[in-house]
Amino acid sequence: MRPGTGSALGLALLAGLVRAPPAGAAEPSLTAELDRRELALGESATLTVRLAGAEGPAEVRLPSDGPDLRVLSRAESTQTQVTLGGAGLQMHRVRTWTLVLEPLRRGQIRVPGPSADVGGTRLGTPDLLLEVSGAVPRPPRGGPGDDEPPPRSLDWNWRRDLTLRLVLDRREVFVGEQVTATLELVSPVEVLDWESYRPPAFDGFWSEDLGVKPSRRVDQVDGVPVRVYVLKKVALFPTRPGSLTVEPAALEVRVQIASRDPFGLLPEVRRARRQSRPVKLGVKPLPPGAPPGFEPGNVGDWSLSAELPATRPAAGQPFGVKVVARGVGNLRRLSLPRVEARPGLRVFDPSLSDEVAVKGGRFGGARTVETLVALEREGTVLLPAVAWPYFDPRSGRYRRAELPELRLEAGPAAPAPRPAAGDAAAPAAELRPLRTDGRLERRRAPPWRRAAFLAALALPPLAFAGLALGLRLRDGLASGEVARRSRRAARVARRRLAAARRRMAAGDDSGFHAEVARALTGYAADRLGAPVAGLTREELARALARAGARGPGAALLSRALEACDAGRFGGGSSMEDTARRAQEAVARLEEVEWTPGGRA
Amino acid sequence: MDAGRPRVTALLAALALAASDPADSAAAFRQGHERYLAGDFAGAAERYQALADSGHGGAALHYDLGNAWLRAGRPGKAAASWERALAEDPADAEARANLEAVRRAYSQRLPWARGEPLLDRAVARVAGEAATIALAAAWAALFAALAVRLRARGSRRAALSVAAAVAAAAALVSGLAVAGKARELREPRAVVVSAGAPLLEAPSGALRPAMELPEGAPVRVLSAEGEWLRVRLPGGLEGYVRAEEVEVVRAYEAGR
Repeated sequence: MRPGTGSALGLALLAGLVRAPPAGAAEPSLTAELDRRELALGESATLTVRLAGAEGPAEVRLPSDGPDLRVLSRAESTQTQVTLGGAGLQMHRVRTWTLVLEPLRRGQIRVPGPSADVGGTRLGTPDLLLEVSGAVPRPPRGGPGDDEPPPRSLDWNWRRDLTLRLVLDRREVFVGEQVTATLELVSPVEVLDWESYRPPAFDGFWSEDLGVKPSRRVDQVDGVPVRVYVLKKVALFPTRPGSLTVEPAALEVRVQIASRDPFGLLPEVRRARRQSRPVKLGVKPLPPGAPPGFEPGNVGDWSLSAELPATRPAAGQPFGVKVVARGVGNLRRLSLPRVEARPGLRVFDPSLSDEVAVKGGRFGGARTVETLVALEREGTVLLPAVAWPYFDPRSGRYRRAELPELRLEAGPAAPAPRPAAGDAAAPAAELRPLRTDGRLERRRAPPWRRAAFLAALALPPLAFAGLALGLRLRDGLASGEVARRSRRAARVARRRLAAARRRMAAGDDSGFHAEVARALTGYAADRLGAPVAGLTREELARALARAGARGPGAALLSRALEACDAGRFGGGSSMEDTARRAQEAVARLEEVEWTPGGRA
Repeated sequence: MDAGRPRVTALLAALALAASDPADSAAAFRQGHERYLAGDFAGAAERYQALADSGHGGAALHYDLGNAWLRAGRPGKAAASWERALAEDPADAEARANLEAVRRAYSQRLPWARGEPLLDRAVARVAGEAATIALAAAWAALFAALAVRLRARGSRRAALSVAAAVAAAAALVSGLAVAGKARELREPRAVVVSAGAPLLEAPSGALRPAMELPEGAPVRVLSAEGEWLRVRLPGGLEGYVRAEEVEVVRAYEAGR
């Protein structure tokens, strides 16, 4: 048998089995259901339509956009189940359509029931009803840089589905209990970056950033995969009871959308500004019956400990007593028990330090209060045991953290350490030798108050300012010289042109043209700062261009000179035209800033 | 503190210095060495101290004075002298080693003491002259680069801009060092020179002392009120001590 013959036979058999009408195959059915029947204007409902058991092509009619309803998204999936039983190979296929519907008005809205034609049989479902109440506020989507296109444009879908949302992990907490707010950006397209982040106003909360790095995951929304970017996580601790609102956050996003070029090579980058919706949180007051000494900030799950120095200090010598609270909760508002002064014990101001730790998204750590104390004489001072009350929101009860009795002991007061001359005290033993070759110096004023230093500070900026001023003056003089030369040249040229007009009035044609040519070449020579006699028209044009005299002025000058040549040697344009052209050339060239020395 | 008294003292010291012959000063310095080597540490300390009081300075004099004071059983004065030697020459490794040996021996009396802030330690490691010269040089380099840049074009102009930025950064750093040194004149270091110097919560001898300071303990003088100095201890505690209980360390003449 040739290779492949067996597999071909197997495929044919399988095809025959599948093609054979399965005994007892289920009748095709069509169902439709809404995930909710009541909603507010601005919210959406999901319609799920299932067509089961339909073999071959089927024509399905689903709800579409209408005056009362808009279809926000539509997704389709197919599930095929193949079973091999006593009746042979059976295949069961279920096609599912998921539509997100948005009502466009209040009141009762009728959603048309879907229908399908399957193999000549018409299947249908009854219409569904939606009760729509008042509107919920929609977050503004527009903003700087968000040039919202009309709904029918190609990139409408990503703009519609790109949302910023603030998610709270709890809806009701006690005052001082942690609720975690997560800021997420949901996007159907790749997000490149975000900027101009405006955090929500956490009025009524104590907030602590949980230091979570931005991450991305993929979720299914209405059967459609979307990217969910977790931007921030913040631990919020309500500071007062009642209904509190976390105000919206906003940011500007850059996304990459599919390209519109035929080859898909050049993906496009778009910007959009998004704002989250305000989120409400119910805050319960702490229950009554707080034990004496309870401070309202002591909420969480805490334990207390104390630390004393390892060695016994001498009387009069200060040492630190540390009281440490460890656990989860709002570390920053904890109020720890204090070491109080008592007979024989001096107490100085305590210092506070926090060591923040976040475990499993819960804010907490250790707060240490270190109090410097000193026993005034040798002996023992007892600090009584402390029962420190706090409220545990998980159990909803007040608890106490116990701190055992502390024994502060001091030895005899240390004698003043004064080693005798030449004795074997440690410092003397380690002493480096005397320097007998050292040099005496005189005590002086600090170097930064010496005149030389002050001069060294003052001179550079003064010298710089002088240099800058000098250069500016020189430039000003140079530009003044150029301007003077330009005015003088124009004056001479106009005088010559006036003389040319007089010759024109006297009927002296050749004299007129010679005078005009002299006026123009003289003007060019004066402005260039170099003679132009002997230059061809092209050379003159190049010299003018090098000197910066480009544009219509130079062209007019060329044409006027050509007209003069033509007039002197017979024919050409009228003298009036030539005179006007020459005057205009001089006027135009006077407006141009020239660079002297442009001669070839 | 009475502002007039230091001025008078400084004036007298300057007059004494001006009147003294350099040869005499060198001879007095040598005599100090001879007394020290002969085992007369107190006598050596007196000679060195007389030179210091007459307006002489230099790391060598203060270093030797510190050694003599320690051998004479005055660790506080020794520590103050080495502090002064280090203020004049922060690179003096021997003075630093001696000072650290004294501090170690007395540190068990200051268990609550913490190190100085990082910036103070950094400033203490820089010589005032070096910081001042560096500031002047960076300042001059900054304006030189800006001046040449005025007429430069293209890549040369960009290179000069970078040079100016580097010079500006150097000027800023050295300027901070000079400012730190100037602050050391306003809030100078000081060393407790008598054993068990009482630290009080207010400038009044009628109060019970909050604690006794060990000899050699370093403090920072914040202000002066009559015969009292308000000081800050390394742990951050503040209080008052009598001016005679501490010795102020200054590398330069103050008061101007």
